[in-house]
Amino acid sequence: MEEKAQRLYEGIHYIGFYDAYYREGRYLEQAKGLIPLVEEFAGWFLGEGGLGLGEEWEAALKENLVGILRDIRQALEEGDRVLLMDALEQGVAEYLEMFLPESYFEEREAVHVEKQKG
Amino acid sequence: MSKSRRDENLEWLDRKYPGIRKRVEERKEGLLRGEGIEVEEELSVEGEAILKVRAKGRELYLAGRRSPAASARNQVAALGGIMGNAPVFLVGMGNLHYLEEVLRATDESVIVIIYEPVFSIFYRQLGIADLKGTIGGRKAALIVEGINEEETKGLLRATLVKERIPLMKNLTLPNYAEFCAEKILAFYQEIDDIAKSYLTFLNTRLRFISVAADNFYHNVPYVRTGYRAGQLAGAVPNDVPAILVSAGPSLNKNIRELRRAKNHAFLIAADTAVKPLLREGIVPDMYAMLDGKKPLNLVEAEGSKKIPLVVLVNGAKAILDYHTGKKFFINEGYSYVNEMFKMNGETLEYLPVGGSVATLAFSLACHLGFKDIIFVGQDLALTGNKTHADGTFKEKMDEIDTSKYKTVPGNYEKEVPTRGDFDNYRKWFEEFIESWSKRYDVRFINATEGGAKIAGTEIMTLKEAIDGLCTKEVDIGRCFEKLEPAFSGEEQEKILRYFHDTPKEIHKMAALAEEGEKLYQRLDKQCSHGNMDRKAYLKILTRVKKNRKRIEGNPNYQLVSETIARAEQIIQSSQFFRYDSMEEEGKELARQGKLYMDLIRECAGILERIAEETVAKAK
Repeated sequence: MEEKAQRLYEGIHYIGFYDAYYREGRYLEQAKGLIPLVEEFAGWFLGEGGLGLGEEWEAALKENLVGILRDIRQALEEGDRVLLMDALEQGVAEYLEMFLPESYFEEREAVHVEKQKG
Repeated sequence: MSKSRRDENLEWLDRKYPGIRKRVEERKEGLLRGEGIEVEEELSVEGEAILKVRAKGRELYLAGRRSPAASARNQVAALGGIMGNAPVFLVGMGNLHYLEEVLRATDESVIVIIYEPVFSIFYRQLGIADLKGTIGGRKAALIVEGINEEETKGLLRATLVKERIPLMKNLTLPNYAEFCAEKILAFYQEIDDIAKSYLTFLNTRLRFISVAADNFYHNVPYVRTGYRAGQLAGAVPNDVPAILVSAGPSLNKNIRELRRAKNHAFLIAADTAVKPLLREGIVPDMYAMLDGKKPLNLVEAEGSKKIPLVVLVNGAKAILDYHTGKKFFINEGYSYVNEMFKMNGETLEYLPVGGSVATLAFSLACHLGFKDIIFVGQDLALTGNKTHADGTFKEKMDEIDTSKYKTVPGNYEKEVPTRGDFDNYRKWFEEFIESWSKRYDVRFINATEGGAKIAGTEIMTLKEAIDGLCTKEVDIGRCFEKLEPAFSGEEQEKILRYFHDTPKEIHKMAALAEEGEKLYQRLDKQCSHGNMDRKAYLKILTRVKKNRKRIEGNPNYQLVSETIARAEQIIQSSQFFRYDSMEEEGKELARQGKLYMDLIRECAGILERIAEETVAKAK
């Protein structure tokens, strides 16, 4: 799941970046391509997945994820870019971060710093 | 009782835009009902009030439910660096996070224009946002559809001034296009029009760069012996119609009809229309010319030499030499020309030119006080897939493929193909007519019998217009004969001495540029020291400013500036760039300054040689 989580995480950031820089209005269309991965991750998390934080926490996290999925569905039905971006970037991506190793973020940060240096 | 948030906001806005509170109160019911957009409020996960819009059967958020400000942060960052003095256009208020981000990311010189296309959103935000706290003393203007949208054009024109245009940034808040796309497009169209008209101005400048100075110094002796266009006011009777004859393709349809108008109207032609008119035996009362590259053969015809001519001083020199009749000049802002009038205690009148020969002729007719102005051959479109009337550039103009051209509403056809420059001139006419009609009672009649519709004109056939309006006999030629040159013999002598001194004056400018270059070298040296002496730096800057002021004060400077227009444009826009340190800024300033001074020196050298061969030899 880690590899898929990483792919989805990068996908979410890529389409957000693409939308902000290129302003072509293709966010919804591009986000639709990520939905199978979102569904797979959500299915796993709501089923066997978990962080071992205790029943109460796990239940709250699962309930929150269900809310995010509901927003994604609504955003796709309404064609709502704001709600979809918020649900993916501020919702799903935050879950994914919990499953990605620290080393992954350190690597990303290093690449970013290199780019800044030119 | 404490004031509500809405009252506080309205009170603050009313101080900035007097009368806005009253307009909001008066119009709110109608606008809220008429827009058909429901704006709801809900709380985000963070507890912030966010807006949701119900429109066209859809429900759309204006800010995220989890992190309302996140998208604003990313999108404003994606705009890249926003230069000082840049105009930033924000379409939509949303939750004000975009505005907050723009203000946070920029300095106080940046001008933010917020356009809210939906009154219902603005009205809802009045009850939530803290406008005073968010905007404070920053340069920000607010346009709200239904409240003050009529100010859009004026505000955009005031903000999008020349050098700022390349710096502008714009951002439409997400989801807005889903429920008010047309209004957003109209807003961007206004911005596009201004930017394009600046581009047209710049391109015209660039197009004539190579010939402008040469034409100018060659032609300016004609100003000494010529006439002011302003002398025509009162001399030419304006109780008959003015007929503006242009060379659009439709001119061939009704040119013969114009014979009946001769001596019953003031016939003013665009240069390209002169030959077709003469071929029909019609001698216009006057013609206009402004193009620095206009080929002589367009007017070279028996009978054209003596027709009074309204002309720009940097118009094609071959045409001015060929023409032996009375030449009328207007003030184009050249200090060199204005100095000729000033030294004799006179002034030359300004006239909006508009960029084309037809706009110049039209502007003159309006300023001469005509109450009926009739357009003929003013197609501003490619009627019949031709650019001009037959008998102008060619005996039979070629038909071109216009299938991919933009189309606009036609006078007689539903749509006609047009070109970018034609369409810009059409817009110029429309704006001029709109503003002129507010002040004067004038009938604008479009008797083109083809071409693009010009808002503000009545469509009529030329026959109808002549039958109805050209009823009085008039001898315009006689009126021209009575006019005396703008300068007396004595005044002309004084100007002649001024002409002869011109190469010397231009040389002074070159010497100042050399001095300026040295100052910039010192500035560079100063900034390259590890430990910069700020006092010395500021002292050099003061001398640089004085030097530039002296260069710019030279009456020949505008000719130099026009000749180096492209480089000047880059330098003027880059004056707004900001750097991290004073040293860095100083070094960049020195680099650009040296280049600029070098250009001035080189250009002054060329102009000096031109002046020696032209004005300096004037007799």
